[in-house]
Amino acid sequence: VIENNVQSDRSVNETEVRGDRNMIEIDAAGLSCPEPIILLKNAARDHDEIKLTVDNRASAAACARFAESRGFSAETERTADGYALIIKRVNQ
Amino acid sequence: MVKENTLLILSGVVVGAVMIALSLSGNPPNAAFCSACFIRDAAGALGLHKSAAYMRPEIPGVVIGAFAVAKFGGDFTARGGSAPFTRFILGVCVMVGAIIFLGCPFRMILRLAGGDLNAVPGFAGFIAGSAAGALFLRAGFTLKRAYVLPEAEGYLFPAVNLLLVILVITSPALFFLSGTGSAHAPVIVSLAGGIIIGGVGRRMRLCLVSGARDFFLFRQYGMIFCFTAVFVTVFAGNVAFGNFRLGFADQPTAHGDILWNFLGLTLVGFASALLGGCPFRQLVLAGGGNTDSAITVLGFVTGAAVSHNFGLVSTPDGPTVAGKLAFAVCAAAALAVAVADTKKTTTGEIGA
Repeated sequence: VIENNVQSDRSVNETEVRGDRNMIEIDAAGLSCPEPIILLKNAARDHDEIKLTVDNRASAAACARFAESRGFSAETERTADGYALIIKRVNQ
Repeated sequence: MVKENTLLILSGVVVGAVMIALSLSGNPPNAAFCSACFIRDAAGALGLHKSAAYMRPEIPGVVIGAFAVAKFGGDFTARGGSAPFTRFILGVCVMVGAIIFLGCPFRMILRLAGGDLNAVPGFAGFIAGSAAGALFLRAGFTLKRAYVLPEAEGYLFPAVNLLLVILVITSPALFFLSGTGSAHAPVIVSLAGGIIIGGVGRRMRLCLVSGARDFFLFRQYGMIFCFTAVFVTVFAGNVAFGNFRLGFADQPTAHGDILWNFLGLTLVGFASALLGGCPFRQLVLAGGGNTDSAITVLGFVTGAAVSHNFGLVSTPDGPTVAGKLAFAVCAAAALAVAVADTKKTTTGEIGA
């Protein structure tokens, strides 16, 4: 079962065991470059699966590229308001 | 990743080739394209100041090229509301820094490729400023979210630029022409050049500040490869057509004050990093429906008008006293914005 953490709840994060498929959702819609990537980079430290929402193609492409360069897979899906990326750690 | 970098290098060669064409067609030396100088000229053509006036078609060309690629690529969205007035002020700061150096980061590359060694301290300043901006971004700097707006909002800025193009083609006598503005390529060449670099810029997300910033933050090199390709292409063109002149003295539209060349582009790099993109990128984003960037461009226009009306523009002898004072004010303003809008955050809290 995927554990869906509340975004800013550090107490939840601290109890996570690394290697679990712990998941976090990040809403980066409307943020300027490179803030979505910074949020992704921070999340990638503690999570194996990240659901990232952005609202423009440039950010979606940049985030997918960053994820892939850090040992994650990235699937991008077009949504009504922008792009949803499912980012998963590949190499444990 | 390799494919992306190859495309970025190819884009750099295309942009470089456009620069050579614009230069050979009559644009000012080492200024085949310059966001800051050309917006300054456009502001003059609209009568906002009394020097260096010409409605440079490259500027609306970039906006229209970016608009077309965004629109037909399904990537056009009207968006805005991310600290618009802060962005306006940062736009003024960028322009004041560029006016002290005498060029935007894009022209910095062209000046280097023309052998103008005065651009070397400018380059160092641009890197330093971008790096300082990156530090604030890493620490949690944000201008908060932009939101989806009524679609018509996004069309207005490209529409204004289209109107300017129509006017400059049909009624060139409407606009003033003076100073460095009188050196220019034929309208149609300028327009085509602008449309090409705007379209490529949109498609490949070309941005000078992201080249420096993403290297510091994420160790990504793609944009550095791209602008190295621009540099090499323009350098080769300058050598081939006898326009390369290595040295500090008597360079076109430049001054030899090392410190102020450095500081001018430090301010440009820093404020651009806070804005999320260099002046060229702001034009491209505005073409794609981002009205925060359109406001930023109005900040450039205002900064240019103020700079010329109040004697802030550097002369061949170096910066003016008024220019140095304006630099101090703008640097303080940009730093204040950076400090005020940096909040120590944990993942996901930004803009919530």
